Amino acid sequence: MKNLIRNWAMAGCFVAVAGLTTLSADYSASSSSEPVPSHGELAPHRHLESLPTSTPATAVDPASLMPKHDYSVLERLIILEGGRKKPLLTFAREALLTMAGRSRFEIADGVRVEPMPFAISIWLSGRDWSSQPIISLDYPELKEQLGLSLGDKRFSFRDIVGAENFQSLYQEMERVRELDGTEGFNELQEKLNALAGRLSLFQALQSGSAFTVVPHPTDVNGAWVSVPEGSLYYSDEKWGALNRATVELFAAYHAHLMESRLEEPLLKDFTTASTAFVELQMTLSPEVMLAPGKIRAELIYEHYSFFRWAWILCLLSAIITGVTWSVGRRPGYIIGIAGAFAAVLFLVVGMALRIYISGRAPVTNMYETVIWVGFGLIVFSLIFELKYRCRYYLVSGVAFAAVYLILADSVPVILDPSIAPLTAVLRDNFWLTTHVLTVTISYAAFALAFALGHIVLGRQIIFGARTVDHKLLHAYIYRVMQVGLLLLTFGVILGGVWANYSWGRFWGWDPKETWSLIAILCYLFVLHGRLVGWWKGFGISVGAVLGFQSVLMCWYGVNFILGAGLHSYGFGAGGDGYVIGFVVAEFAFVGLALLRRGWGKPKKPSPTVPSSRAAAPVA
Amino acid sequence: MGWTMVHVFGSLKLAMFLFVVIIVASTIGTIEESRFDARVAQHKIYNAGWFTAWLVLLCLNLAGAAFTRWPWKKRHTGFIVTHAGIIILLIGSIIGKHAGIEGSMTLHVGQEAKRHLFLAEMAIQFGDPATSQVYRGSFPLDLAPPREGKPRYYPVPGYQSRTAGAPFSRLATRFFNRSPSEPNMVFDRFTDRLVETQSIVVRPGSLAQAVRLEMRSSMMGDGPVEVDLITDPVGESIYDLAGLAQITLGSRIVRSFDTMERPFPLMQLRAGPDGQVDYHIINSRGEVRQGVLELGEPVVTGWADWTVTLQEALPEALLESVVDEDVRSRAGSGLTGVRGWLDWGDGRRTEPRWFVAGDSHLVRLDDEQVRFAFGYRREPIPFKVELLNFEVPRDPGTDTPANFTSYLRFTDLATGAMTEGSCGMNTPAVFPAGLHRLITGHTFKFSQASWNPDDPAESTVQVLRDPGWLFKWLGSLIIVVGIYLIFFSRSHRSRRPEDIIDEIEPGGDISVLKKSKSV
Repeated sequence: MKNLIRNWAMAGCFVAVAGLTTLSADYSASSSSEPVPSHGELAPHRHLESLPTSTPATAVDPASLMPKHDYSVLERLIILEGGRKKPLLTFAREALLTMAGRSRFEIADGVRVEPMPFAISIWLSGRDWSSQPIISLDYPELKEQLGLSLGDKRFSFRDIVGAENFQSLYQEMERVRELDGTEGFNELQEKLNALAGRLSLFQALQSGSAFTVVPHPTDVNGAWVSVPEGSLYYSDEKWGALNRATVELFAAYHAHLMESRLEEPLLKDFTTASTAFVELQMTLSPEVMLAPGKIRAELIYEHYSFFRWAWILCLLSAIITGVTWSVGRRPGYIIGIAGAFAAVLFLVVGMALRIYISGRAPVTNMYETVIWVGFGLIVFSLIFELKYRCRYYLVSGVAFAAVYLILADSVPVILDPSIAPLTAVLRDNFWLTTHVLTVTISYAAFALAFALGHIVLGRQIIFGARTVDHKLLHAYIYRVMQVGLLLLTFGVILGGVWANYSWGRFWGWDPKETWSLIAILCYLFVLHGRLVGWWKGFGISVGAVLGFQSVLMCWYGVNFILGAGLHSYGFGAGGDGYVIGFVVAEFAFVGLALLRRGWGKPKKPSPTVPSSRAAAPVA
Repeated sequence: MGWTMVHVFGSLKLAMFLFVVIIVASTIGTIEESRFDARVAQHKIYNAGWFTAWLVLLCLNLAGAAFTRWPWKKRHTGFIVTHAGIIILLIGSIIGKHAGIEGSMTLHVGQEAKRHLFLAEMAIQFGDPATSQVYRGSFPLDLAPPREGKPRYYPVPGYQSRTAGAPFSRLATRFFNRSPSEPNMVFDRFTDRLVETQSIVVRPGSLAQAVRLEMRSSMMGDGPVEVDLITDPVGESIYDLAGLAQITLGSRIVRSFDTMERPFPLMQLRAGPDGQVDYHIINSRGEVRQGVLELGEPVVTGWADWTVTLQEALPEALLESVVDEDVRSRAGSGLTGVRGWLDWGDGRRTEPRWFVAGDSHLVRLDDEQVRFAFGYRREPIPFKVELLNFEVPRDPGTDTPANFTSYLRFTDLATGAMTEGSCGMNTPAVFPAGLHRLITGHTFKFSQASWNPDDPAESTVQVLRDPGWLFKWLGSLIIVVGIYLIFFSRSHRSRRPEDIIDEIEPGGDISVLKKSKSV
């Protein structure tokens, strides 16, 4: 009562602020897991209500939406989005990934949406994309509620927003949000909320407000704006030049339509107009701009899929080594090792570029750690391979690394490859580098033990009870497990020291901490069990496979399944079904191997027959 | 006999059992944390007595295991070092837990220096009226909330009978939920959704006056604004019209116009015991207009086109506040409190009501009374801390914080000496400084803990004093060196892997010991 007027006045400001920040706040909300300030949370509602849903969709030929041009110059236009200055190419790819779930896909027969042509089309040409199926929705229940076709993965903005139930579902979600916040959402509402993020990203793209290419005139950390808003930042003269450059670019873009009506000399060639635009952007506020070296590095990173080449090489290396194994050919072995080395090289270059672009160690989200563990796997395989020359390390390690790298390359929605600014707590490169790199590299060692374990168990399943002696393989597994245990313990302790230094407490039973301890104890259990005499080498192999499940829980499970604790910067969602399926399959695999070994039957003394294959000298 | 004990405690089978139990308990702990929160998990498992006992047992097991190898040989080095490292680390954590302090301080730029920190644990204290002593106790209702029908009993100090059976009776009360035979405060609900609503009520005999006003302006599209003013409890109440002007109500005109440096548009009201309301209106030039506020008659204020109308004058009024649970509100969005009553143990008890954390409560039952308070435990520190400035740089073009830096000033209470320091993410501040303090851990470390996005001048810092830290760091170092020695000592290197596996096949150390015992 007393404060009603003040509240009313504040509410006025609130509404104004919410209106102004709608677009930027929405996009940042949808592209990162950072909590958005309260005004951002209400924003989509306001924005989506004012939609022109009743306008009939005019049939647009998808093929005409993206005329053929040379977009390579505009790729290096810089845009500030999500707290980072990045080339337009990166932005376009990330925006498509967020909105459509893929950065390249088909919308009609023979019409492929590619990042740059799409971005320029929706931004510069003013073409209406609202009828094109470019917004991903992959939740059957929501599709059903909205009356959308269950078979499709992507829908048009109009289809979704114009759906009969959309407004009522949306308002219900907003009501829950106001009452209980996002914690109050049911699964449908969570999906709807994510969808709303994609819808408002679409709006921001279609309206052009997402293309914040006009740098802040003075502040390196200041917000950038879109071209029409540029008049807020720059003198009439500068802004006029920018506007002119935009118009010229627009005209050049549509030149193929206008040729008949306009004189040729009036029109700039698209590449010339693009160059002029990009150069003008560079001169607007040079000290605020991204350094040219970083732009170049990021474009190289975007263009050459280093990580993809790495897994192709890994796969080749593993296959060649494996196939030539039985014949004991040296050339095949050498090619295998060379392939693994080449893969390491590609990974190193890719990671180095990422480090240069982001200015930090490449282990700050799930995607980066998966790549890093893949890298560690190849490196460990090579080290052990060069030391023991047994081919087991190379084949299993490199093949498993390929699995990791393929995973990182193929599920961008779950393992998000975009480079985002780091949360404040992680901005300490020394500790981040030592602690996280050590812990994650230990995962690589355990992964190698896991892969070797599969060879033992696989052979057990194929060759049956107690006929094969894997003694040498057991020793290899044991060795790798030791390395892993040393690294994990060291990494966890470094984490304790970091936490003690930066947060106060050394150990706080945070889920990530606890699970890393559980992983350590699991491997200690496996190693000590051998000393008690409960199991021998085969038990170690089983332990290598089962122990890795605890690593998986620590690595993936804490962030994606438990979703609690202070190590919250790595949170994500998705893929739990597959991972749980994987774990179940692993247990079944181990069970089968144990059955084949005759587990549970009374032991018969059997003389150990040395495996001719394992004992065979290399080449 | 001594050696038998060493072998029992140092047995590998016990170690395996300890591993399994810790693995299972920790797994349950993380699931609990994901279902509830970190503190619940810590209360139930990690900080529970049995878990600590388990870790102590682990310590004994580690030490025992090390001594089963006696006399030590060179090849035992890695093994002994590792086990010693773990023991030192665990000792460090036990020292830290019992001799250390971990709490937090919420500081505000421009506010008075603070001399206390809050620990993340709730405590209850009773005042004994007879001895004027204060009794403290742990009050973990937030971590393990009581349920209706299964309340928690807190005996009122000073009334326990000294008979032989009393302790058993208390146990029965606590664990078997029997009604107590002594005075107890009984609590059956805990919530963080309490909402306090205040309303003005007529209470004959009250000395406070209240007025109910209605304000109108053409600027307000939504109709009139209701303003209630009451002189209870501070003697004067002020209504601020969006920084434009103020209306005050007092039993007299409190401000002298002459002394006001820069006159602020002001309407001063004075309510007499007869219900008459006088007003003085001062404009920004200092001119005064006065009169009597008549019921239902609008008075032009001169601030834009605002008018004030008296709706009601209450000469004998009281501000009544009612605390109740608001089930519609979000968890954690309200006041924290418990519901409880006083049970005297002889059949007499008070009606259940809500008690808010942080306040002092007086519960009366006939002519008995009990005073108690509960809340997060406050711990005094030997110096005071002040927040001079708080900086939150943002990621370019976003609201996402890139860092936090609190600029602090510490004032030694004994000497009055002042020191300044700053703490940011990953860069803590330390006070008092000094090498020996740093090494022994007898110093306080301030780390950035959290902030309030709605108030950029507020910063919460984590405060830690950990006398065990050196043990932890040393233990850590020793563990790493030890594991390295075990796995990669000279005796292992340059050997073929199959030799290694042979060496550690069963039949090694343990079975040798067994044989020697049986001989």
